[in-house]
Amino acid sequence: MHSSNRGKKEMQPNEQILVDRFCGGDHSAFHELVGQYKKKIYFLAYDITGDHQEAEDISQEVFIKMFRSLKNFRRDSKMSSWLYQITVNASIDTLRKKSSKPKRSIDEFEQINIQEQLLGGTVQSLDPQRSAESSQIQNHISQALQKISPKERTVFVMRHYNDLKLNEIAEILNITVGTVKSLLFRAIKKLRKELSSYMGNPVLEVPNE
Amino acid sequence: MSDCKKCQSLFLEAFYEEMNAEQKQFFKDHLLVCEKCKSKFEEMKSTLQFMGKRVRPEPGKIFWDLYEERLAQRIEKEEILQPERESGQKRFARTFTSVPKWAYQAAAALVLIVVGIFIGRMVFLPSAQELQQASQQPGLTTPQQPGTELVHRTQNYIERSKLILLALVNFDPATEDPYALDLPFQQQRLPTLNPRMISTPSSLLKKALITGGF
Repeated sequence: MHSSNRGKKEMQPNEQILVDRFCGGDHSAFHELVGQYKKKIYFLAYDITGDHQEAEDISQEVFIKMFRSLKNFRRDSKMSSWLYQITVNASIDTLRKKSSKPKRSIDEFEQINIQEQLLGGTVQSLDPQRSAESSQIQNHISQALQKISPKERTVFVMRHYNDLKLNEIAEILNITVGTVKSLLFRAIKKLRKELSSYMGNPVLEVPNE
Repeated sequence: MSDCKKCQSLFLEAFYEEMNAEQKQFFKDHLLVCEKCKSKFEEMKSTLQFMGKRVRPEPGKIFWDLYEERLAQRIEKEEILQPERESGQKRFARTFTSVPKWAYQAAAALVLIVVGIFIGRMVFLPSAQELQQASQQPGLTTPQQPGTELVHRTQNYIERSKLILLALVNFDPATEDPYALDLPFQQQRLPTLNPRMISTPSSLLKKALITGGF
């Protein structure tokens, strides 16, 4: 059972055709590409930074870069890998700049949103106790994610919430699959330690690669 | 690699269903016989399942509907700003590209020459203080009056051979053996060198005493 936001991998329309159309001056091709990738890019940025506003800014930056560089885009690489790479780099840069500032927890907008999504109703119709418990879970998970390093978090969210395979993650981050697995194991170990008291189980060792 | 190590290295592939058929079979068979690996896998699985409860806040329909409009506005703004930034950069670059290459080479050579002269003067020329000290040495001053010729000659001689003269001046050839002086080089040279060297300071001394030069 993975993230509730895990979707099936969609079949992408021919990106080559869209890029060719864009190079021919048809800017509607760019909008089609944005339409295909905007949610993926936004959510990846959100998963890494934990901030809605930053995620929007980062996703827009990614598409602006795409707009400027699409004519020079190397046809032998995947568009998605390229966009994810830019997103990860921009997100980690944002985290570095923000590292001195206190991290904010889920804000009110996000709290309401989460409750409604989890429990399938408007906030007014939710049972207060249930909504409080679900908010607590989200808070704990969100805080636990912030406790692991940016690199570990990046690899973890890419695998767990963005459904990218281990070899895809390795390609995007330009590291080996072994390194991806090491980072994942470390992230899982730290998350378990953070959440152990809340999960009610004692901390036990997770195998390291 | 031991079976446990091999099995544990496949935990992630197992959880995320990225194993091939052979790996799947091995993994399944190993967990049946190894309680340790089984419990470790269950721990990892429970952590990942808990993390799976996370819900991403969905920004909502309005956010997505207006997303591309906001993006287009930002692109337009960036496109407006970009040419201004570029023209400033281009102008700056143009000042360097318009000057011919040989001018840069000539300027570099000139700078090297100037630096070389400067370094040479710093390292090799004596300082003003040294020049002043040298000019104040008695041997270098020219006699200003004919009457001081004797003094001048004597001072020159003394400066040139102070140590030897110290011995010679105090040496009385009438009573002492000149070869007792430790002058091996002079003794090896022409015999005339020694007597003249020995007699000169004595004669100078006598003249000086007579004329009252000292």
